[in-house]
Amino acid sequence: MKSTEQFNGVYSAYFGSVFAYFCACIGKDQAENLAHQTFLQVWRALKSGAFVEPRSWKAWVFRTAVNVKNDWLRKKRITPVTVAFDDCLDLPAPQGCEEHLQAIAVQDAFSRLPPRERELLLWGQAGFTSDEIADLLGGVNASTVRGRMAAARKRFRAYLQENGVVCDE
Amino acid sequence: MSKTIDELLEGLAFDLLPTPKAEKRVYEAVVGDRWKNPFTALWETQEIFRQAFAGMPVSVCGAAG
Repeated sequence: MKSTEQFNGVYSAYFGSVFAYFCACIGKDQAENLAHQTFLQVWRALKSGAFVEPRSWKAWVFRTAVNVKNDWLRKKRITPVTVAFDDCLDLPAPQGCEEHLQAIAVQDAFSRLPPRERELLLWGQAGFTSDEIADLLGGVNASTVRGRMAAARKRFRAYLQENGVVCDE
Repeated sequence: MSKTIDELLEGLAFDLLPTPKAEKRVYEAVVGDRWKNPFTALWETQEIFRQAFAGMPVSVCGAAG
């Protein structure tokens, strides 16, 4: 019973961000399938008798998601270069014309980033520290992550400016 | 007023969120049980209390008379 409650808590807290992560890195048509596989693994781990509660649930769930993504890419022999955001996003009904246009411009700028940089920006937005991201990526240290993050933000800002979106730091 | 990069990313992440149907579909496929959205669960709890106290005098709620 405890494992079901734990799963419900983890699912409520992280399903949305894991789904968004797959949407941004792989595309919407596979996001549901990969989120399904991720939470199936989470469910099985929680149901197994040997489960040890992680120090950070968020990091543990995302590590599972990264493994699922890497396995999927390996099986498909795909190296993602770009994901068409037209296929990825269902834009909400426009609140105001200006906001709607800005949302399109932001999505376009984001879609032009390499998937690796999208991943970094989303993790940063989700509140992961450089150490946690380094752990998720494996084989890199926190200062490398900070350098890559700064480069990703710089490129994103440049694309935003090209699309006429001015932003503060 | 212009937004920060973090605010723009926050809005973008919000646009990428799954629909409630996708959330329900995945949960039920994994767990094999009905997905109850926390907000639905909260609403149902309130409804149970509302029904339980439906016949009680108004003074129970602290209003005199």
